[in-house]
Amino acid sequence: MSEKAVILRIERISLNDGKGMRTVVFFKGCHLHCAWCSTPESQKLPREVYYKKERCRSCGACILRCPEQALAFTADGKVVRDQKKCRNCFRCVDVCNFRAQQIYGREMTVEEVMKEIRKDEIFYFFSDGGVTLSGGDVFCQTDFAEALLDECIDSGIDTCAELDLYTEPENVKRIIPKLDMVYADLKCMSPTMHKKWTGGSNGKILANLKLADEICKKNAIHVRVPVVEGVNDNRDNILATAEFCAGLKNCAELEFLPYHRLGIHAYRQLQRPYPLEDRKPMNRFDVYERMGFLCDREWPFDIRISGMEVYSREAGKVDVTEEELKA
Amino acid sequence: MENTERKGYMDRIERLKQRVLNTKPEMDLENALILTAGFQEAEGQPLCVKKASAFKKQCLEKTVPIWPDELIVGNAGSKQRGGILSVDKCWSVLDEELDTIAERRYDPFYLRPEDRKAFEEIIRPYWKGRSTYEQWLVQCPDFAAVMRDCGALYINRKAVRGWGETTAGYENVIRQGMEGIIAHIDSVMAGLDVCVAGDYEKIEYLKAMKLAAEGIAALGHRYADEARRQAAECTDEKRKQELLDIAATCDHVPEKPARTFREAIQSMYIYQNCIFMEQNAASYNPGRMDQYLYPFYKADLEAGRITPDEAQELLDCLWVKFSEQCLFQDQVTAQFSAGYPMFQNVCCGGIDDRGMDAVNDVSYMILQATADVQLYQPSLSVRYNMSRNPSKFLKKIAEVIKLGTGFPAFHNDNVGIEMMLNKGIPLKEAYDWNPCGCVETNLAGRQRCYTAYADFNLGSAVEYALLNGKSRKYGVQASIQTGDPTEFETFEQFLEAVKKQISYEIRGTVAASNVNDDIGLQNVVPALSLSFNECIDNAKDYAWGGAKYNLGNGIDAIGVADLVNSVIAVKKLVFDDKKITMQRLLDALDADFVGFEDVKRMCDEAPKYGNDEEETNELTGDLFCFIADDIESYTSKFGKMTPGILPVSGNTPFGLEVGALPSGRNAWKPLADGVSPNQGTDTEGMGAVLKSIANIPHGRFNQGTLLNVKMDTTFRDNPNSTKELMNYLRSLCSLGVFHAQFNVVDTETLIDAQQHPDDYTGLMVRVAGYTAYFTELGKEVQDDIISRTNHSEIA
Repeated sequence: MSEKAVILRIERISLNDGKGMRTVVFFKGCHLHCAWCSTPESQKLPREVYYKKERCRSCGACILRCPEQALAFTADGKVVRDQKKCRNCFRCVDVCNFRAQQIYGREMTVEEVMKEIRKDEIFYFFSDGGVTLSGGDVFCQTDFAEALLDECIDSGIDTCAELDLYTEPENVKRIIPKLDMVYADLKCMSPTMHKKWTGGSNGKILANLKLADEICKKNAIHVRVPVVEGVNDNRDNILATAEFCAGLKNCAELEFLPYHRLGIHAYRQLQRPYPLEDRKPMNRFDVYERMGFLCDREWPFDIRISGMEVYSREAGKVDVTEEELKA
Repeated sequence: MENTERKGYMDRIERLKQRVLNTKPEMDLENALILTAGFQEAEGQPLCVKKASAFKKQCLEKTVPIWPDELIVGNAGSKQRGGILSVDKCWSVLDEELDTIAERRYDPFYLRPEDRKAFEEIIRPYWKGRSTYEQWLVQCPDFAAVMRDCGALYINRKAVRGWGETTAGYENVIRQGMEGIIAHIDSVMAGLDVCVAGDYEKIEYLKAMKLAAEGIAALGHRYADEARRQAAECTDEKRKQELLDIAATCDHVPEKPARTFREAIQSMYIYQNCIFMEQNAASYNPGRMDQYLYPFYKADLEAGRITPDEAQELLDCLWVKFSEQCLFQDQVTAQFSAGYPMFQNVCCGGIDDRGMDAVNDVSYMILQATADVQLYQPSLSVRYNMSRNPSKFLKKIAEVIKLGTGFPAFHNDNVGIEMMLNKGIPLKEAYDWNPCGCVETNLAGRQRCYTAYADFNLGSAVEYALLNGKSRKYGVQASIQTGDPTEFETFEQFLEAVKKQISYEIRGTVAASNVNDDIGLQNVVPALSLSFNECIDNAKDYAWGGAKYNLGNGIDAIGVADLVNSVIAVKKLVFDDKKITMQRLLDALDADFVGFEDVKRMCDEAPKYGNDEEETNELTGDLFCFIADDIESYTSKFGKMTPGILPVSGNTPFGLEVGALPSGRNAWKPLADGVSPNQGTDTEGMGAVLKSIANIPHGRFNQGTLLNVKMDTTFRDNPNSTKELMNYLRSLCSLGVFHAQFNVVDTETLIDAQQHPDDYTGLMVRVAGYTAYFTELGKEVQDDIISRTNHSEIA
C-alpha cells in the first residue's frame, strides 16, 4: 500500500458534489485528458509548478535560479516557462517572494487527509453530507483511495466519488462497494468520438459501469454528462446515454452539466493552450434545448441539469420555465 | 420566497421609501433650541427637573410633521432625515465642525445658514462650559489620553453622544400608557416625605419623571391635532380617512394603554422618538417586538379588526420610519461607525420565560417587513434557538438573508442566554434577552450600562510589544515598556509582553470608563427612565443606576485576527523555525516590508486565523480567555466590566494608527473586523471560518462577538442554497458561535458602485453589525468591504 498520494486540493463544505455539504478530496493524475477539462491542473500525477502572472513583479529571481534555463522574460516583462525543459524541481517557487510561482499538488498521508476531513464532521451531521473523492482520477491512486475510504467508513462518514471508470475491473471491485454514492461520467456513447475527445476508448468505461451496477449499493449510481457543443450534444448521443442508463439497475439519476470555461484560468497559469478556445459556454437552458425531449418519455431515474430537476422518476416531467433555466 | 406576488400596499411603501432615499441628511437644531430655552426657563431648579421641563417643552413646541402616505407618524425633530445635537451633553462637537460638517467624508450633514446663525448666537453662548463633554476633555486620565491620541483606544464615543445602548421598557409604555406610568410615579411619591433624609431628591426626581410623561402624552395629542388639520384640508377622501384614523390613534396613545395592534405600534414609535429627542444616541433598541406586539395582533385578528395584510402594511410603514432618523456624531466617531447608523435593533424569535418556543405570526411578519422595505433600519436580528424554534422559521431567516440586505443578523440563542447568565442575570430573565445595537446583549427595561463603551486596539498591542511600548506612527512612548524584543529568548517571553500590552490598554479603557461613569451622573434621562419599573420604584434615574440590573460598561477588542496572526507568525518564524531573527523582522516592519520581500512572504505564508488550523486555534482560545479574564477582573461602581468583540467600523480608523504587523498586513491598512479573519486570508472557506472562531469563548464576551460572512451571488443561486444555509446556521449553533451576518452582494457590484455611486443610491451593505448605504460610506470602508474574501466555494 502506497503511503502517500498526490492530492491536488481539498475543498470544504462544497454543495455540488453529492448529498449535503461535502469535503471534496481532489486526487491528482488522470488517465484521460478531455478537451473540455475544467481542472487541467489535475491531469498530471506529479506535483507541478504554475505561474500567477498577476502577482509577478518581474524581479527575475526565478529565471536566475532555474538550473534548466527553462524560464525567460516575455516582451511584457512576465515570465514564460519552456515546458520541455522544466523538471519541476520547484526552485523557482522557493525563490519567488511574491508567490507568483506556485505548486499544484501536495503529498499527503491518509492520516493527514483524514485530519482535514474530520474538521468538517459537524457540517456532515446537519446536512447529511460526507466525503467525496474527485480528481483527476481516483483510479490513478487506487490503493490510497481504498485506504482513505476504509478510514471514512470506520468513522461513519458518508462516502462518495466522482469517477470516469477508465481503469481495470479489479480496481472497480475494490472501490465501488465502499461508496454510498457513485458519480460516473458518461462523456460520449460513440467509441470513436470518445477516443477523439478524451484520449481513451469508452468500451472499458461502459463495461466498468455495468460492473459497478452489479456491486454498488442500492440506487447508488448517478450518471453525469458534461454537455459540449459539437461533441456529445446531439440527439442520438443523448438518447443513447439515457437508454444505457435505463439498462442499469441502480442508476438513480442522470445529470447533464452545461459546458463551462472556468478552467481557462488554470490553463493560463500552467501555460498550456486551451483546447476548446472557440467553444461557447452553455447555461441550463441551452442544455434543456438539447435534451428536453427526454422528459416526455418514461425513465426509471431522475433527470437534472446542473442540480435542477427537470424529470422525476415518480412524477415525470417537471415544469421549468425558461427564466428559471437561464437564472 | 413563499410570497412572491406583490401586495397592494407595496405601492405606498415604495413611495414612503423613495422619499427617505431621496432626502439628504441635514442638521436639525430645533430640538437643541427648545432645550436651551427650556433650561433657561427652569433656571434654579434641580438638574433633573430642568432637563424634564425642557423635554416637556420640546414635546409641546416641536414641529409635528405628518408626511403624505404615512400611517404611522412621529419624528424626533422637524426634518425627515435630521441629525440632532444633544447640546447639554456635547454642544461643542458641532462647534468644531461648523465649516466642515456639510462636506466631511463620513456622514456629512447639511447645515442651513440660519441654523448656523442660531447655533452661534443662542446655543454656543448658553452652553459654553456647561456640557459634560467639556468636563470629559479635562478629566480624561492622562495615560489613557496618550493611548487614545496614539490610536490605541477609542474612549471618546460616549462623551460625544447620549446614552443609547439600551432597550427601553416599550411594553410598559404600550400596556400602561403615560396614564399608568404617572399613576405608578404618584404611588411612589405618596410614600415619600421631604422631612425624611434622602427623600427630597427622590421627590424632585419623580417630579421630573412626571413632567416627562406629561410631555410624551401631550405629543400624541399634538400629532392628532395635526392629522385633523390636514384632514380638514384634504380633498382625497381615502387619505382624509387615513388622517382621521391617525388622529384617533394618537388621541389615545401614548397617553393611554394601547388597545389594538396599530395603537401599540404608534405608542411604541412616539416613545422611541421621545427618548431620542431626550438624548441623541445610537442603539435605542425596540427589542423583542414579536413578543410584545403579538397579543395585540392576535386579539385584532380574532375580533375581525384587522387582516394580516393590513397588519403587515402598518409594520412596513413603521419600518420606513425607523430609517428616517440619522445619527449625528463628530467626525472621528463617524469613522468608527459610519453610515448614520441608528442601530435600532429589532429582534424576533427565541424562547419565552418558560424556555419554550416563542416564534409567532408576528415573528414572520417582522422578517417579511425587512424583506418588503429593504432599508438600512431597523437593524433586524433573530434569536434562533435550535432546540425550540421551528425549521420553518429558520427557512424564512435563510430566505431573507439571501435577499442580500445584510439582515437579519443571526444570533445563536443559547449563547445569548449564556452571555446574560455571565452578566449575572438570573436564568428566567436571561431567556428574555435581546440583541442590542450591533451584537450586544440586553434586557428590556431592566439593564443599564454602555454595552459598547470603548474600543481597544489589538494591532497596537502587538506593535507596542515589538517596540517596547512605542507608537510607530507617532514615535512617542504610548504605553508601558515590556522589554526589548530582540532580547527575548523564548516565544513565551514575547507572548507575555503582548499580554502585558493588552492589559495596559484594558487598564486605560477601564480608567476612562470610571471617569465617564462619574461625569455621566449628570446625564439624567427621565423620559427613558420612566419605562424602567425600578427607576420609578427607586425614584432613581437610569444614569444614577436606577435600573434593575446595573453592569460595568462593555469594552471591545478590535483586531482579533491581526493579533492571532501576528503572534503565530512571530512564534513560527522567529522562535520555532528560526527562519528570521527578531531584529530582521523589526527592520522589515519598520520598512513596511519594502526591501524585505522575503520577510513579507514568510509572514504571508505563516498560518492564518480562520483556516481551522490546530495551533492557531489553540492560540486563539488562549489569548481570548486571557482577554476575557483581564476585563472581568475590573469592577466599576456599577458592576463587573463586560467584554465584547464588535468593531462597528472601528477596524478602519484603528488600522490607520498601526504600522506593518508580523501577520503580513501592511502599515495603516484596516484591521480585521469583529471575529472575522483578516481580509483575504481565509482560504479554506466559510466552514473553516466557523470552526476557527468557535475557539473564542463566545459566551464570555457577553457584549457579543461579530462575524461577517460575505457570500457571492452564486451561493444564493444554487438550487440547494436555502437548505444548506439552514444547515450552515445549525452547524454554527452547535459550534457555540454567537453571531453571523451575511453580505451576498458580489464584489463586481461593489466596485461598480464605488465608481458610479449615483447608480447605486439604494445599495445596502452590512458594514459590521449594521447595514448602511454603500455609497454613503467613506472610501476606506468601501475598500474594506470589497476586500473581504468572497466565498464562492460553498456554491
